[in-house]
Amino acid sequence: MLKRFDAGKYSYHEPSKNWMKIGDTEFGQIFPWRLEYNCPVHENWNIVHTGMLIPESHQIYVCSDNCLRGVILTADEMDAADRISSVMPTENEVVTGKLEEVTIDGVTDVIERLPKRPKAVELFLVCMHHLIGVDERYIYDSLKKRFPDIAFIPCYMDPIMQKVSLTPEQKQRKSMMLQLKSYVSSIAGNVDESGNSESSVNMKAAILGDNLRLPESSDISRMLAYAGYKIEQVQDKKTFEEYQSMGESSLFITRSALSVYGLKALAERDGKPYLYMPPVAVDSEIEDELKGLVEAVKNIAFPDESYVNNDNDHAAGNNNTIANDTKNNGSNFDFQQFIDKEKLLTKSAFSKAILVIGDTEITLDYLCFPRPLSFARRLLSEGFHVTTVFLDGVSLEEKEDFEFLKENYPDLILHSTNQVLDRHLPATAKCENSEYEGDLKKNSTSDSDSNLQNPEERKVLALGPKAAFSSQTDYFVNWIENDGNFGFDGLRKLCDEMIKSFETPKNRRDLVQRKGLHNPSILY
Amino acid sequence: MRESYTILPVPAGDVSGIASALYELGGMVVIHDPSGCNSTYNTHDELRWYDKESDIFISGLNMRDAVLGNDRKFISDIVEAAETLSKERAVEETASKTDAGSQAKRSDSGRPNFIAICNSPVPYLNGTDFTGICKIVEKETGIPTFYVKSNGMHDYITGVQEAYVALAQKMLGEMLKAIGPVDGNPKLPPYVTDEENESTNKCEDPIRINILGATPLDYGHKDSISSLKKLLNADGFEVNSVWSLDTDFEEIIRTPNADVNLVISSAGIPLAEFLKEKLLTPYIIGAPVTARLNEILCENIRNAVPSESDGIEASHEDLKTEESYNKFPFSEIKSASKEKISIIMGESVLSASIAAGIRAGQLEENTSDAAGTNAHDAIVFCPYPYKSPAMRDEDIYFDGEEELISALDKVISENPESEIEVIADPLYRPVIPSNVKFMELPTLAISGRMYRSKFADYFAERGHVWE
Repeated sequence: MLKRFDAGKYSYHEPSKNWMKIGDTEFGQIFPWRLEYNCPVHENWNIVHTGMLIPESHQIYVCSDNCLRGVILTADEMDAADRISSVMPTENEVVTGKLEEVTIDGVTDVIERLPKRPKAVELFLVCMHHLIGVDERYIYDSLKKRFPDIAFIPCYMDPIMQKVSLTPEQKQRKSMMLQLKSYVSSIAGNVDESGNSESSVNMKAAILGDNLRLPESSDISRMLAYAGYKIEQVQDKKTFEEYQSMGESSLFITRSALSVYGLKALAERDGKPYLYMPPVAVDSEIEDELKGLVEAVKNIAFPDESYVNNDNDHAAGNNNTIANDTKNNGSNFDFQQFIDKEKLLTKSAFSKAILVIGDTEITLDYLCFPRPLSFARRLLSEGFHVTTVFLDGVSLEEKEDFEFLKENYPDLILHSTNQVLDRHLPATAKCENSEYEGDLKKNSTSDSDSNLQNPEERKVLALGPKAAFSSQTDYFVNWIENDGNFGFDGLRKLCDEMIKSFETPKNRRDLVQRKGLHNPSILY
Repeated sequence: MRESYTILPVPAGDVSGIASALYELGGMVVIHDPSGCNSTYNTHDELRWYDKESDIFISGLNMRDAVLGNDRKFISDIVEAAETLSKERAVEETASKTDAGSQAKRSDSGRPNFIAICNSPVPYLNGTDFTGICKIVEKETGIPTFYVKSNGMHDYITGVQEAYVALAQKMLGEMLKAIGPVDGNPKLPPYVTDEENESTNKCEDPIRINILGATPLDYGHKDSISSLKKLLNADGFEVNSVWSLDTDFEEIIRTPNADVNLVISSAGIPLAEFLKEKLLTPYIIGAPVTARLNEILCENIRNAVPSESDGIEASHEDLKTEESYNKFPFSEIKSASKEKISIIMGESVLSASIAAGIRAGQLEENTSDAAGTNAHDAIVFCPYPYKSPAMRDEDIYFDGEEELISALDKVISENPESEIEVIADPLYRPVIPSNVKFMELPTLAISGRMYRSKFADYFAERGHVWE
């Protein structure tokens, strides 16, 4: 599970604040858990979008009206109404202990009435199943008995657990990953769960648990290609069997913090290595992650060698060659040379961007960047005028970035998106609140603050849809989850996108309200 | 199995109905829910969220607090939010920098006009004492606080109904205090017998109407209510208040000043009953979606209001007997032709009005000839199980996907010679047989925002929406 901060830090009577300067706050839970506001920005993916990644699967939710409607219409809006169904227990059935029965019979009825038998069913149980304490094993055993040809994937829509336990997303991703066929060995030839072996050498790495596809231009893709590895991604799979065959891979990788829990379980089940490579923005962090990749690939190729990756290797001229020429298509790969070149190219991209964007105010959000403080740190270090980071919490993974920013950029504002005062946010973002305006001015490094006086005259470049909504700007990078990018390549793409977004406004109102960016959206 | 839905969506839920009904009234609505309700509501069931501020929040309930019964956190969070928002708004209003049009109107202190608390499945199942919570919140904030009965397991009509009645019950005292001059034109409700004001009451004022049951969930077109007001004004009526679209709290408080309530959706019926019981205000049900229906409706509105010659005491008696006017005046409209049968799917009052409009046929412009053209039979399929005076014996309630399919089959098989046409939200299309003509009539309560640009203004001065 994701580690969480102690919610008890805040006393009930401590007044709410929806923003603060990083220099004035301590690392931890910066905003309290109180009443929550939901802003009209919906480009993030939810459990419906993620679940749809499994080809030939069907989602069934067992839930009451109110919660059900959100997921059903999510699917309708992405033109996937034929891949989702529901069972709606009545109030009477819930309170009279018939929830298990109605779940089993309802799911059975749905499956039997579907025009085509699904190969996999993602079954979502909800908060009330937990509260009542239904026997989930009984439910799944019964369904498997009735439909032995269907793979049932246990999922949850139980937000009541998300602050005190695993989130629905973490559990769903684990279940999805555990659908991969189990192969106990990898590079020396696969042996599947039935004991059948494959003689061919398998050099595949599976990218798992990420909503957005990793592009071929990414640092990870290029490095694995150098090593002769083929990358497997769910977004490329057309059938459930193809999806399951991703289990053949000898290395599992995810970029999402929400997927680490599941990936670890998968790796342990199959005895294979896994890597968590979150999209970070600081050169040294990217380099460390890529070193980890090199090491993992080498360990797979040479499992008996005790490979130790340290700086002395470079000093001694021992280049971190990913694999020897029998495994890397004959290419010689110099890791340090690769990194140095990437750093240079990236630096140059930032220089180009800042020439165009100058000291224009920049705000960014946690939807655009899963590690927003890392990106704020990088942009500020490159000379950009970042004033505000929109987030609702700070991950433990970001402690170092937090401390760096606190020390070096204490005026940086951390701004929530779901506190009650955020209902007012566009007004404050327009500097209509005098206190807020004052702090924005203090935070400005511009010689002239005239651009902060009048919202109509003040140009803000937002990175991410929540930042765009909250800053009321049409100049924004419409990305979520780093747009699937990673590393140096991702940073260069960000620079290009920042320039484009700075020069060309977008239809903010229309874009930010659409659900699940990159999915089809049929809003009339 | 009626609980299972293979393809159809579920309608907006009760909590969405509550939030929608109270949206513009400057109160604070808190849904005691872990997550989801707020997002579902504002994404799919609320068109005003992006532009018009309203204080609608969820509690973010977690399993630990639910199981251990930590209601204190919930109470304190509400109190803190009310105080924080009050302070924030007081500062803004003093500075006069707020765009008045983008916010619900609140009291001068910036405080919410009321706090409404809603339930959801988990607190419902563990028996949370919402009445007690409301008492404590009211005591700690000094803001009128009430519970709106809900549990997330019912449709939006229940939610709107419960919200309206709960608000009216809570605010009845304030409403009664507010009775009196409106816009310099004094008017009293029928039961007021103050002799000093009797003469005033008998003056030639236009009949004042409250419109009940107007939310975007049924009337999603942005001009719906202004068109209806225009229509009623043209007939010599005056709209006193609208529950609760294009309105504000002050208007709601003026409710008792009306002579008659016009109920345009079943969501307004319990409120109409409540106002009839407490204020003796008569009510008429029906949406004047055609010129002909409008004529019938206007006539019945006039009949429902006691005339000057009846005197106040007489009007009391009339109201008690309920029989001096037809509650749903369109029910008598019949069509002889079964050559074609239109099935209107949706909320009972609006659908029954549309069906009546079809049975009556088109009314030629500038004529009062009762004989319409293109008249044919029309029946209602209503997915909401509430006894509504708008539903006739021929009309059908259906509960769930299977019942809908079998009801459709029945109509088709019983009328082999008739051309069958279904007028419904586009999301019903997948269960309609391909040989049946389908006409899209989207509503927010079914397909959410997907077809928002196609919402009908039922009261516009133009052709009927189903033509």
